[in-house]
Amino acid sequence: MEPPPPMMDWTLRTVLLTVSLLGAAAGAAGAFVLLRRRALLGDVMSHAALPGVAIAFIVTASLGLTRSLPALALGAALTALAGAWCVSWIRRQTRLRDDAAMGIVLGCFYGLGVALLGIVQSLPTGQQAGLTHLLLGHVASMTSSDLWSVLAGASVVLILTLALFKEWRLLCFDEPFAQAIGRPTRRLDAMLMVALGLVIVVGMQAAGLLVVVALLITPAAAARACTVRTGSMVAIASAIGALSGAGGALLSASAPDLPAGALCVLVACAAFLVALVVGPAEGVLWRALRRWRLEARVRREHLLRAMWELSSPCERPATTPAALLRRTPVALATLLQRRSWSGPRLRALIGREARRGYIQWTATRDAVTLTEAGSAQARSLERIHRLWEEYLTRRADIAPTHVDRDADIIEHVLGPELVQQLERDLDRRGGGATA
Amino acid sequence: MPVRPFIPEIDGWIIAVGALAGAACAIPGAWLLVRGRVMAGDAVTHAVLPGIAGAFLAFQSRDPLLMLAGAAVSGVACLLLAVVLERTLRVDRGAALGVAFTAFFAIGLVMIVQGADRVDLDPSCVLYGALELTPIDVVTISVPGLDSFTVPRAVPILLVALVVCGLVSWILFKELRLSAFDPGFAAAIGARPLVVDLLLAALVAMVSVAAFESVGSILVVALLAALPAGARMLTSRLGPMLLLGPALAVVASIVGHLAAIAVPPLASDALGDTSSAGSIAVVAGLLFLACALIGPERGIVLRVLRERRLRERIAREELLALLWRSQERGLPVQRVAVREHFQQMAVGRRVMMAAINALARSGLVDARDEQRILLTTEGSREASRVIRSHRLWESYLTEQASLRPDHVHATASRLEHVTGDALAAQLASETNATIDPHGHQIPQDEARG
Amino acid sequence: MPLIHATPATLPGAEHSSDAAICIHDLTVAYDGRPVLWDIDLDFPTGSVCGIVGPNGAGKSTLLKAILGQVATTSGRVLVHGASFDTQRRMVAYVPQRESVDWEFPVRAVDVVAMGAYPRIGWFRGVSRAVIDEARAVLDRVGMADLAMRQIGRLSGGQQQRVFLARALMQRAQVYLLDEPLASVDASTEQVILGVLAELKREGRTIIAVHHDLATASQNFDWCVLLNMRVIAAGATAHTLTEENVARTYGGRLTILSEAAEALRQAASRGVA
Repeated sequence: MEPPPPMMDWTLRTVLLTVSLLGAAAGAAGAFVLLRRRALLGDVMSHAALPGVAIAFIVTASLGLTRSLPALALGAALTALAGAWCVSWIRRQTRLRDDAAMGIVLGCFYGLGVALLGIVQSLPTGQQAGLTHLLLGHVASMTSSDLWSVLAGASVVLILTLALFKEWRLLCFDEPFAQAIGRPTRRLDAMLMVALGLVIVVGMQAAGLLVVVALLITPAAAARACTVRTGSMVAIASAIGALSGAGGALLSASAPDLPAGALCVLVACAAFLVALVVGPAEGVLWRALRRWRLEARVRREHLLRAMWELSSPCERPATTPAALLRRTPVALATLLQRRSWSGPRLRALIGREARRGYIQWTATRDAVTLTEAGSAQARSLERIHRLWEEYLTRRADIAPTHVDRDADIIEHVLGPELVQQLERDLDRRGGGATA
Repeated sequence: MPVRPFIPEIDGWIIAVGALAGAACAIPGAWLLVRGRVMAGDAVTHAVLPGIAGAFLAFQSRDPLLMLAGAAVSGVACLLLAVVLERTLRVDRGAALGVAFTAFFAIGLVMIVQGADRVDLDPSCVLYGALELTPIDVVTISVPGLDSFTVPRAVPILLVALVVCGLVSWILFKELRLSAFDPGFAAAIGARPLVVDLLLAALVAMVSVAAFESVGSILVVALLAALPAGARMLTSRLGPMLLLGPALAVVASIVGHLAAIAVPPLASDALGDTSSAGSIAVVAGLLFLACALIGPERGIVLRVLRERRLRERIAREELLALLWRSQERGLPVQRVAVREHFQQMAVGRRVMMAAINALARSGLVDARDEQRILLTTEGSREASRVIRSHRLWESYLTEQASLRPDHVHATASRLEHVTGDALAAQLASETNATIDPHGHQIPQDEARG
Repeated sequence: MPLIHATPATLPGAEHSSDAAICIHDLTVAYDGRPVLWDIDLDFPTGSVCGIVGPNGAGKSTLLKAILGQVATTSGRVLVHGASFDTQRRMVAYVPQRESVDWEFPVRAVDVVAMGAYPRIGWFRGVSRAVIDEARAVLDRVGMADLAMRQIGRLSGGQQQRVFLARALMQRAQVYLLDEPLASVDASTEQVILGVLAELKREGRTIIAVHHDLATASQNFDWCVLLNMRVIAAGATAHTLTEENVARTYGGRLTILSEAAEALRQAASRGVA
């Protein structure tokens, strides 16, 4: 690629900085809105900003003033906040749910905006041209004044996030509790809406409605898939927002016939998909992998334990521990009846364990034998199985929920003393682990 | 500018198109409402863009039917994507919709910009249809054996959409209701809630596409959300709700369009008429508000009245109890003390005065004295009932629920006002106390001697 | 001393008795890589009232969902009267836990009950007058005839539970799966539910109910599974739940409080009583 002319470079830098800042602020605010289960509120508020612009225009025009950007922005922010308030009012007063309240507010406020713009068009001032374009900026046509307004708005939002992090987290997690311990939940919610409104107003002017809505929702959703902690979720959402903004701007600079705003959205979306697939907390890949591993483990344990239970020591009585590990062969037909597995699957399982050296086919290939290593493995599985059984039986009143009952770590979960106790109980009851 | 005259052959058609669009939207909107998926309407209106652009780029034609088909396909695809993200990948419902539709819209924008050198497509002409222009875009329909009619093209399209929605809702009423009400049970009895989900997504996409071509996407969102919600405020049954939504649509269209013609010129001489679609959306919102205010059972006005009546009754009973307790201690009650007591309970002066006056009117208290308030004999009987209920509750809560005596007063104060005769009798049978935990006598039930 | 005696429930799978209403063999279910049910082998005998008892998080509801094919299983199979659930769907009725429903939904009690008849009616056909009449009759059976036209959210918790039981009755099934049918219901509802279950048993149907309370299990069920991720004991109640396991009950005393809470709720929604 040819080196860009210096002017381009400067524009690109402005755009990069602005969109990244916007993305960072939107990510942070969006994370809390998502945690409050109102992810689409940003969408609602950005549509609700339209009547504010029209009203501000009508008011300034009827006062005989010229069109001023701050006045329009103020109007937009005010009706956006009014929209957010209406959503919560409808929810409180009517028992309709959030989605219905948001749909009503979005449609009707935007409709009001369209109707008011219709009135604006017939005003005799002649300044109305491009009014909606003022509201809906484009990433490509960004100016340094956009940079300053985004810088100011984003700083306020990020400072608010840092200052109110603890309170907002509580508000999102358990509003009634926050209320009960005397936190001003209404005011905290209002602060969150103000942050959201700020992002929306500065962002819409700089980058357009689509970019703001997407940057409010998508990075937060991506971050949600990455972590289970609020702090890191907000940080990650912020980072993904900034990176998507920067990525979109850079991509569109390298391919000039691609719209920068849409690219920001698509980069954020790609980040979301990546997070969804490989996100450490909820990643689809890890979930599938965990599930697959568990299935394999369960099948393997079933096989080894079944072999252990169906076989007996070769020499009787088995006097030494080593003698106990030399087992009689088990017929394939017997094994097949033992569990709900099909013939081919059982053969595959046996094949895998044979490669590991735990199982051997007999010469006739209609029966299998545990090797000594396999016997040792099976015996230990059987012991752990019995210990868990003993634990769950004796402590039927408590279920160790949310504990990964990975058989190998029973000592870690229950503690060595309890395990010893359980083993003593098992021995006393004659159901010893080596039975 | 004076209000322009009503032109039946233009304004009549505009109202008809608006009403048809509203009616067609209100039906799938109602299903979205009861499923908690209203914002799907907003998502669809954005998500159609790649479908429109794709149809246009693929066929190089502006045939509206092709574009509508493309729009419907990408609308359904977006809703499906959102459902998959939500159901199988556990993404928050709103976020799933938001991610899906912004991505679809962005893809649509890229397609349009990429294709811009080859074709000239302005998405706004599809996305922001003008209701005012519908009477100009006409088609002629000839019915064999009858005359041929010239109607706005939007009318037959919306009519078909409305009929399809109505028929599907009628024929599959029970499946749609079941999978919305209890998807788990629907799955258990083999009613395939996912198929029903897909069907509803298709309905929403079809209606949105049919409607925003003539009335604009934003009106679609408003109609999908506000009309069914208004109907929901009026009834707590699904069938009537499905019929009331379209009825509200007719009202919204008439009032909305007339307001668009009349209100701006009336407000200022300098103004002409404004966007009918926007105005109808606003009226739909106001209709919802009105329904929410006046609705039976759930109406805000009714609820506020009920709450006030309950507050007043509690104030009356509190006053009786206060007087009775003072009498028990042999003290007359000064008005000042009453005022202080109610201030502690955070009851306003107006409610307190209303309580005193109401009790005085029904002869339960004697409030003729400037300084004091006295219980009459009848009032004394009524008060002893309240006190009895309160003290029985206190005893019950200490004895049976093992609460500490100093903790039961507040709970008993809440319960005493809602204790009917039957509950009081049951309460008395479960507590044999004659003395409450604070050592006061529990008054006997005078009705039973 | 062990609270419950483990029985060797995991015997070779071939010996499943043919008269079992539900055979569960070798079932393992995991959520997100963590087992919730481990190696379950169970035969629920036909024509009995079976309780699934166990602590919170023991996998009781998951077991019901596994029977209904609503959770993915890691291993194992479930047979309903000798065939897979998919082919025997009509033989099974299900009463979910009450929390899973949107109570603001615009639907009346009688409509909910009629939903039980949907599989019989089939797709595309409406609910006939006869079905509505039958639904009313079933509502009468659970003592709710006069509340048939009430919106579902305006019923008390116990009444809602009865509506869902009535819906299951409408299914005319052979096997009834109930998830916590007696959790936080009032005394009269408990009476009604137990009465209906006894009737079903007399008709030779099988009832399988998740039950939270060890103390009352022995009175309500004649066959019990003690479940804590795996089957701890299963069999006739007298053998699985011994006398000393029956803890002192406190349920009866708290019923009046729940009635008071209901009265508060009513007052708030109706104003003056």
